[in-house]
Amino acid sequence: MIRKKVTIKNSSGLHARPSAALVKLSSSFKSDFFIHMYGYRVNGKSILGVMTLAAEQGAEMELEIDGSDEQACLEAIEKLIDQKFGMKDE
Amino acid sequence: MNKLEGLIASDGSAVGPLFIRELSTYETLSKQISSGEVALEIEYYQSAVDAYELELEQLLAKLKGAASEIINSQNLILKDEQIKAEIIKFIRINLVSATHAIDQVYELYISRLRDSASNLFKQRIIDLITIKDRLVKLAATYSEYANTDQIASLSIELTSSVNSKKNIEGTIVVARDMSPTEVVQLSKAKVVGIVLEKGGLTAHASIVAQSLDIPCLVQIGHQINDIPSGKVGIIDGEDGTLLIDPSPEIIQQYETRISDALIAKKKIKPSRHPAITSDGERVEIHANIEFIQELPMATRYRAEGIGLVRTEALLYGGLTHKSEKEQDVYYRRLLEDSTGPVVIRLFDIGGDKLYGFTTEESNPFLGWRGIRMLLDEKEMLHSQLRTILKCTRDYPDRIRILVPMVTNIAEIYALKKELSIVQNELVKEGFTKTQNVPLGIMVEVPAVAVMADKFAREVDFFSIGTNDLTQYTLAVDRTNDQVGRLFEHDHPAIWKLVQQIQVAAQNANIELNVCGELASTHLGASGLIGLGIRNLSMKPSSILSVKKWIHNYSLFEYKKFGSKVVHAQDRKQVYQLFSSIFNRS
Repeated sequence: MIRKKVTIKNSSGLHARPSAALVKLSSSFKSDFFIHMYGYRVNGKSILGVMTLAAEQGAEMELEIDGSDEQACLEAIEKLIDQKFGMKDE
Repeated sequence: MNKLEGLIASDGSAVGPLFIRELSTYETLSKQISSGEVALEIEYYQSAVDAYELELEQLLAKLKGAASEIINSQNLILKDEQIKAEIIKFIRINLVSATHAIDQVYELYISRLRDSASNLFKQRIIDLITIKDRLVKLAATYSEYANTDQIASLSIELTSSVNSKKNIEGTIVVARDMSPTEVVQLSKAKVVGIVLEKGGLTAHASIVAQSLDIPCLVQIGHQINDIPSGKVGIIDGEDGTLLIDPSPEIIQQYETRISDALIAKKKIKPSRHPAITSDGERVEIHANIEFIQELPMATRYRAEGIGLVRTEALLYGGLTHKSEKEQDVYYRRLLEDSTGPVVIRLFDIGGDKLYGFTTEESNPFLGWRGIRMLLDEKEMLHSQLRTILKCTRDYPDRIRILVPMVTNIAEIYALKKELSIVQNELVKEGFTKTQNVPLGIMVEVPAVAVMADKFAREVDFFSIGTNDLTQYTLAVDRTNDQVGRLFEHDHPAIWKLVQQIQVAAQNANIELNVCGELASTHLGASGLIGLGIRNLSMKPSSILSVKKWIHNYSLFEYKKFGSKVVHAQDRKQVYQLFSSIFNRS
């Protein structure tokens, strides 16, 4: 299991479409994926869970990934966050 | 008229009856079930998810861009494994109906968003509420039908609830708040605009409205219950205001503005909208009408008025006179079945047509015709003027009188005198005096064209008759087989005269239109627009082709052609210029 702290960079935060992108990506890996934030621990493969974290720009969260492909999964997720979920700033 | 201010969430203006969409609340009673019913309730929930997924997929069809992404994310929420597991667990442990479980579990997530400090996330609440409400409704329907053993009719019920928004086509829908899925549904139901009491610029409803090009105002800060349903409303997409119950004049203004904007975006068929150049210059297109039967085509291609009524048609068939009654029926039919101004040209015939003495004049086109004849045949002139003036009372501001074959200023004075005689007669007979009817002349004799500045002071408008102007300028009878080929209505001499006439009309600030055949050709329309003319009248069958042509090119290109065509040395050069400037097909 690996854990890693990340910061949300896109201007509008983890709203529906970035959440959808995150869920889609993480679901393509076998590992379990959870996000820790504000004392919540939500399933990172659940769009509702991710969305209702209401993570705004600058929000810090901890990723928890556990499984055979956890390293690849973490790298892919970090890349997605770095690229601001492929969204143009709104 | 009432005016409410809001924020522009999606550009554009719209006109339509206001439809107030009340908030429908679903009351979900906490219904206890036995452990034996758990499997059934889980099935109602899963069926509801499947049915809703189908609905969303139907909505997704043909969607693109942001709207498609947003509806997709709704679909993901619906199918979220986490919430599915939680709802099923909720049913099992608490032994409650699916509807109650859906409500409770979704409410948990919704309350998290409510607690969020971010407005953006608060704007997503409506998305979740909509998904929840629809799922509850679907699950309740499944449960109800299962209990009454009417599964067969279930699909009908479900389909009809999706399509229940048919009757709102053309309306502006006013609601407290709205989900993106509803915006897509409204777009498919051909709603023209959306106004939200709450909402937000970054709400999904707004993004979808933009993506689907539906004008949308949000945060109008007004209780929507106070807005009268059924009254006409206007969304002003420039001011960000909602006008309630505006006057017909204001409605007309906005309708024109809206169709102009549509054309500028090239989203519409030229047949249904006014002509406009590719860079947004409006050109009015009117119809030349001879017979009542031509009116439907003029209407179909949206002529903005009748630029020429050839009243001679009334006299064909060897009849020397038409009674006032017969004329009256003809004019009223024209006025009734058209919109915009109607330019009635006084009988434009020669003596040959009137009395059939073709042999009396060796050169009828240079003879007793038009105003020359009318001023001699007072009875005929008076009956026509009387009928027109009487119609004016019922159709104020729509009728104009056009005088044919004028060559001398004195003829205008004489005609004005006859007009006032007829007016006074009507007043004596007990008719109330009508406002002055605009009076114009045909510019079809070179003498008038070269002295256009003088004539422009005496009349309210000019109408250029390019056929006769060509015939008199080039001294060619187009019906004469030996010389007919010399009839060139696009001859440089005609362009020079047109330019003079336009300048004179502009300086005198009077209206100018062209009703000759030149206006109905692509080359002709291009030159006329280029020389500053913004009103072309033509036979109805040419309207579509000319409108399409006008849409293709910019005013810059028309002006370029107009400025050069007056310096051409012959028709060949005119054609070369035309094909060098207008070479996009």
